[in-house]
Amino acid sequence: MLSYNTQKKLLIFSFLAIPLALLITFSFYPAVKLIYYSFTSWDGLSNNYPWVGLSNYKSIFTNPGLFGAFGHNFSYLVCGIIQNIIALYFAIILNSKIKAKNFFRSVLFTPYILNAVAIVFIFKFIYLDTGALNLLLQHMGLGSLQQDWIGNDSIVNWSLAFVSMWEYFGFNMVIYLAALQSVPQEMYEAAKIDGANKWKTLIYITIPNIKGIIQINLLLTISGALEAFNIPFIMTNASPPTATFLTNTMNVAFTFGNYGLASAMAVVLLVLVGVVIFIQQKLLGGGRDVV
Amino acid sequence: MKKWTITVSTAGLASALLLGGLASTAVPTMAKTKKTSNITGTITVLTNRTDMQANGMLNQYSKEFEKLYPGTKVKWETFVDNNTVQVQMNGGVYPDVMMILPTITPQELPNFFAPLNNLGLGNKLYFNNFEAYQGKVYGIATFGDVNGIVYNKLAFKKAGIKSTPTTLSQFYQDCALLKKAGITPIALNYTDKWPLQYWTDVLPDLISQNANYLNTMVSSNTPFSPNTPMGKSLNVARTIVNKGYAEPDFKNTNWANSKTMMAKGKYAMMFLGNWAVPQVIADGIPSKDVGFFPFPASNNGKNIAILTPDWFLAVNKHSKHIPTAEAFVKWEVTQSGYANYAGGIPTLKSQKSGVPQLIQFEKQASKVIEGLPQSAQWTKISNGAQLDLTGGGAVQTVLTASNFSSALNQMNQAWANAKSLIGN
Amino acid sequence: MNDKWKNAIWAILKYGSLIIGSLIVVFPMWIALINSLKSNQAFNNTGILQVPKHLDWSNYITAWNAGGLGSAFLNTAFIIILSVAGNIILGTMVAYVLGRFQFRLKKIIMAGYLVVMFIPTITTQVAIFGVIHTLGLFDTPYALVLLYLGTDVVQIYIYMQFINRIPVSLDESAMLDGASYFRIYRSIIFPLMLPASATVTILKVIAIYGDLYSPYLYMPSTNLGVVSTALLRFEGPFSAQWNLILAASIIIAIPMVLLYLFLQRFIFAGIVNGSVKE
Repeated sequence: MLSYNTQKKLLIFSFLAIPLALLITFSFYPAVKLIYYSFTSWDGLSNNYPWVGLSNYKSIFTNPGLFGAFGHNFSYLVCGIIQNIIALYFAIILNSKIKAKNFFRSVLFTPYILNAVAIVFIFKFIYLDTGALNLLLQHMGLGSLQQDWIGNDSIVNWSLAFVSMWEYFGFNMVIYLAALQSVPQEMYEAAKIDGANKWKTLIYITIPNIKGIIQINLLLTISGALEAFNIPFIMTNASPPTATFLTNTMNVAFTFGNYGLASAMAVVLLVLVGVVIFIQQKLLGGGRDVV
Repeated sequence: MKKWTITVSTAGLASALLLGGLASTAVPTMAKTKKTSNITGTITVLTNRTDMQANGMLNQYSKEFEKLYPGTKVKWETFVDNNTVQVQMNGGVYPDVMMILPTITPQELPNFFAPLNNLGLGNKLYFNNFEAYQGKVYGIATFGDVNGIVYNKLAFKKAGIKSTPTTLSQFYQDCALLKKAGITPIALNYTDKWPLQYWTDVLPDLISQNANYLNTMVSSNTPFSPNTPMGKSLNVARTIVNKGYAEPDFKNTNWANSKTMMAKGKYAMMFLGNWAVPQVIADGIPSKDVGFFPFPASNNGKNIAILTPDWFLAVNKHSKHIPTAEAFVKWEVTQSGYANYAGGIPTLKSQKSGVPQLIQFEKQASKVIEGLPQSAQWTKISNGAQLDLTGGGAVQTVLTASNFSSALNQMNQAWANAKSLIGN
Repeated sequence: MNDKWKNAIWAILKYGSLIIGSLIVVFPMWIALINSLKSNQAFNNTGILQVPKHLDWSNYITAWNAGGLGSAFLNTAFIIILSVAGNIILGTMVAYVLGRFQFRLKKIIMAGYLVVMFIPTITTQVAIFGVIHTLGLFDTPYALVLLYLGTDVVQIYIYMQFINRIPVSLDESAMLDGASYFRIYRSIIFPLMLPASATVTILKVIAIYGDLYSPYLYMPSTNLGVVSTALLRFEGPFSAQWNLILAASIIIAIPMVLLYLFLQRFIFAGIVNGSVKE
């Protein structure tokens, strides 16, 4: 038999070869190509890749129509943060002594397992101006709250972001729940002896102990919000009041035949996600690697 | 820049609009006499007709073609959006029979498609020079459309409208009458986006009574000002929305739903092409209750109409079965009866349309002009300005802008910028 | 007395918010369900919030046939089974190497997986398409299998947390018995990580099941349609018939609900054990 040292080398190499090949082929290589395209004015079809230097990047920041779409991503960001707060709240409740725990947990998790396209269709139906939501409000005597959920430009992005929140909060909740269950029970007992109330226990014991998980959940939520695509694309065909930065990117590439500019937009998006996550890490501290 | 050959043939067109026999009129079949040995193999065909996939029509077409050319097989692929098709084209793998995407410039045609000159159709077809480069034809239109207003005659009757409007002011009056009668005057189909394209790529031509109007925009720095044909036509769309003549929830609408609503008499009008007529009828309203009239763009009641092509078919130059693909294109355009099924005007000039509503239309139009393709320069500037004038995006922007005149100003600016960057 | 009040209020708050949350979750699904069971006539004549007097299953039959859902399910299942199986093997292999061994590139590899998570893949499709085409996999289900095969940072995270909980002493005693590293992976690590794999499975299946863009791009042949593309194709011609669309949406939800019910106890066990802090 081979020595464990040789085995180790062999194993690391053979176990990582395929996964890393996949990672490089389908993630890094396309990303490098993307960066290359971003310095050209390639139209997406021809064999010409005219080098244009930084001009694509300049036009992103000087064209309010392109960068302005981030205003629509803002709703997804806010709803994403609310989504995490709600998810954590329900996780804490479900982690306490409670009846029908499994039932509630399963119900709240259900939206996440439904097909994403089906969810958008269902909400499209519910948001119709004569749809279920407005009817429900009327029946509840809240007729004054009825809205044109899709037609009103100042509401529509919140309506869409809500769909995202509805779909994903169960996922966050289950992850938080798992983290909560792993906080050592002794810490709570010690706190109880010290006479700490529920609020203090939450702030000083629970939250610090699950910081890593909060970071990961926020990381996923924030990048998801900045890269929102499917919901506006299926629900409103990414009409101007609902266009996000990524739907605009696809439009620039495939309606206006400017793949170079679209690539630059994708690179900007990637950098922006990185920056936001860096800020988030700094704000929430923790410093330790999330992985 | 390549100059497009301008052919304005009113006489020929008028006869095309006349009612011909329903279904496909007899066409001399060359297929039977031609050597068919090299027409074999399986071809894939891209289609935008998901509805015909669902109702089995596409399968029927495959069977007919396969019967005519034993040893062939036709498979269909449904068109989803430009993105997927363009990425596939870029990778060099795409269906044998293609629809030509609007983003493809004439210079790029030879890179992707096989020339179709040897099909022997040439001048027998409308739109023969639309998708051509250096004297070679790469695309054949599936059928032609004239654009106008499809309407529900019963809805007009209910609102007390005796005759269809011929001027813009009459049009607004009729809208008001319809609204009063509790009927949505005109459906825009905002969310689908593509139904809005006619407000920017056809109506300006109608207002200016010039089929080449769009191409003249390239010499202007302010083609979107309120007094220009483009500005005026956007103003019509905007007025419809402002006065509440569009669907009550116009930002959450789609064409499939609108045609049902029109069949039910809840929507009165839609500004589309003649292809829309049979589709509305298919949703359960007798043909005699559906009408079609030219857009009342003028002030004097003399309204022109423009014949424009629907999707163009092309043959993949990398196809393993180019003869089969070519035979299919020829068959679809000349023999399949698709133009009639779709309610279009057959591309083959000798065939007649089978849509009775076109008779009424033709009586009311002062003349019908064959449309012209947009010049490469025009496409470059509008793409550079990121104004989607052929897909409805620009109309969406104008309809949702908080201020109409500043929206037009912004478009002028974007246009002038792009124009100066691209140069003349 | 005071404490009792406090507890009562806390209980009302707890159960109250759980019930409200559940209602918000259930409401859209309930609306979809009752309206999918209405005939065209009933749909037009009864309120959206009303339960139909007579349950009409014809929408389900129409949706199943016209949407081509039967073959879509088979295609989807084929892709899911192959890619999830491969994905779990590769994922556990990566986790085993990263979790049990120290070597130079380890940090870089982990950072690499983290960074690529933020690339919006829809924008890099041109290059990925080139790769798939070069490999000759275009318009075959294997194109998707290959794309879904790779592991990602969330999976690695779940597996890593889990593997850290498996005592190293197990490995060591196996080594004393002369087991190779590969054998340790195969007979100890892989089986013990099955609960985590259940979690990974459900997450991966959800992702594949909902993916819309890749099937359209890489498998355009209509007979290769998968569930989400079938649903979108179905919507075009039938978008005026909400009862049909809702029925199709519900049919598509059913397999996932069943899978979830089946994997449920593993999933929660997996996540619970998998996310213990070190």
